[in-house]
Amino acid sequence: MKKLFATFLAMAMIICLLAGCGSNNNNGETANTTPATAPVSNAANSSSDLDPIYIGLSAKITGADAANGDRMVKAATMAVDEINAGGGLLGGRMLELVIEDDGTDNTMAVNVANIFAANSKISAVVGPWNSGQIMASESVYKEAGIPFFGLGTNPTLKDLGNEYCFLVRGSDTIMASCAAELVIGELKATKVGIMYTTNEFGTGAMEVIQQSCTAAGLEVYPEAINVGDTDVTGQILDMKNKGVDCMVVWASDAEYVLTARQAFELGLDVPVVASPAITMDQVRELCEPDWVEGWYAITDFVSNSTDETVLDFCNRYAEGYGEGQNAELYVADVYSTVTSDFYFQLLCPAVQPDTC
Amino acid sequence: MGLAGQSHLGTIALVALGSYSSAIISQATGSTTLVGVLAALAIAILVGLMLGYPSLRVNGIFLSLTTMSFAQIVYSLANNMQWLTGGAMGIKNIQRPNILGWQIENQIQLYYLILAVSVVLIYFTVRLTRSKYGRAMKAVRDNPEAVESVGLSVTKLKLMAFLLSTIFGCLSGVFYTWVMQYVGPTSFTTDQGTRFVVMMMLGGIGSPAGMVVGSVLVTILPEILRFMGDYYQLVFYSITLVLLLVYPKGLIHLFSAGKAKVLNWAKVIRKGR
Repeated sequence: MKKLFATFLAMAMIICLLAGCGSNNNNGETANTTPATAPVSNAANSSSDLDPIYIGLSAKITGADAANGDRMVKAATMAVDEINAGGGLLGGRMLELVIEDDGTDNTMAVNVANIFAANSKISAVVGPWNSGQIMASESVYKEAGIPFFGLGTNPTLKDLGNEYCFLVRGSDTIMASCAAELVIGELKATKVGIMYTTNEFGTGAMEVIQQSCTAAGLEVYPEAINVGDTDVTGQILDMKNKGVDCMVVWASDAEYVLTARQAFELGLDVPVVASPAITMDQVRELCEPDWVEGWYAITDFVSNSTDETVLDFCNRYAEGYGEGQNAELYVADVYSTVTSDFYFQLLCPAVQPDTC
Repeated sequence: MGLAGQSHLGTIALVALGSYSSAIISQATGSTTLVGVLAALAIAILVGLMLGYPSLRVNGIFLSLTTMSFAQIVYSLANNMQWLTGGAMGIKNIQRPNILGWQIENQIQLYYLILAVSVVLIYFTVRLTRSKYGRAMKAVRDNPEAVESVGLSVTKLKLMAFLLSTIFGCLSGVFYTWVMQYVGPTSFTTDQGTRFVVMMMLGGIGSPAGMVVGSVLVTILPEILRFMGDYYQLVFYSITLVLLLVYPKGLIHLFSAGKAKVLNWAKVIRKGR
């Protein structure tokens, strides 16, 4: 039996030793030239003889934010299909989407980055969405020399010093500054309470709002919510006792619903300024209309806009995925990233001559 | 801990402590990795003693709850002590290790370094379980009164188990920091800690080989199943559940059962001759 165990152990060691082979080296040259692992675009079977251009998508398909991950996948697929239907890019080359799940998890985001780095055909990656995952995986993309389009909004992301990282969305410096401007200029508040989740999303915005409001002479009362908290009555009552005349909420989906409900039930009847999450269907559908009546939202995209471009985009999305599907922030941002001419027409041929 | 029959559900907190201490010290001093590792080890010993002594008074489910609470405390501190840990934003741009002048330059070199250290640690664990201390720890798990009656100190043995688990946990945190080059609190939630419990249960509690089998399965299986698209997590956890139901003592006991069967057959064959 000892011999059997020793043989098993030796085999395991050999596998471990060989596992290091086949990954990319420090210069980003890849030893593994296997094609994209999971092309899903409907237009993948192109009649074109030219090699396709592979784009990675690091999406949160599983985990707490899977609903938004699903939107990311649909938006990217829609964008790729439209580009391919229009004749492709760079002289008729089709796009192929390679989708990997980062599960809204730092470790998984790094795993995904390593998968893309080991695939020499990937020319660019869209995602990850969250700032934490961008911070965790950016060094892998940098070493592999793969440009990636991060969709996080934390203000510190601009200090990464990574020439391969492109930030697509407006930073919280802009978004949260807009919220602060609304509170100070439009709502004329004097005492403002800030409900924020203690993650990189909520904390980054809270600091910007606090700074702006304090500079304008307002009294600021930040109240933290931990992700996963199931009760915020303490924070709301604290704000009531301090006599806040305006509340800013910068939280994740579940904490939004909780805050809206408990603020309504506890009678905190003050103007509320909220982050983009409140514009999302999955949040609004969980809230009674009374809870969020009169709330303001700071967002990069609203699907009920009357702008013709937005209407056309929303209609095309609904046609593609069914009437109940509403094009929202996640859809708009991922779609705009993939369809942006900036990368594929200008940058990619210069930085990725082998793949573009 | 499993060897001594102690249920520690706060392993993720130890990983976090090792990860943060090495990152903070390395960033603050700009010094070599060795200082970060030593800092992590110092923290491990300190925490092992601080957590170990009070935990001697509790057993079973109460010890599990104590260690789970410890994990939550560490997570909350990491998330809120912005001046030290960077708060929710964490600590980024952590340099790869430099081992006595040898600068690790890529993930492959790092992989082999961690593999080599892991092999040494696994060998140490195997030797420990077969040593007199290992046997004494097993005895603490099975019959603490009998251990006392032969003049061994259950307190010291439990404390030793606590110390070893904190040292291993903190070292794994250091490795995690080297791989990620970024440390943030979301990597150390209690949800993440559950993965360690699954690793232990799947492999076999109290067995070094079981730990290796469990860790490899929980880490690699989801990656292998990625081709299943949206359903890979569902399939992974279904497989895990079935394995836990079929092999409640862990997969490593497959080998034990196999060994018994082979010996049995060998006996039958020999008798037949």
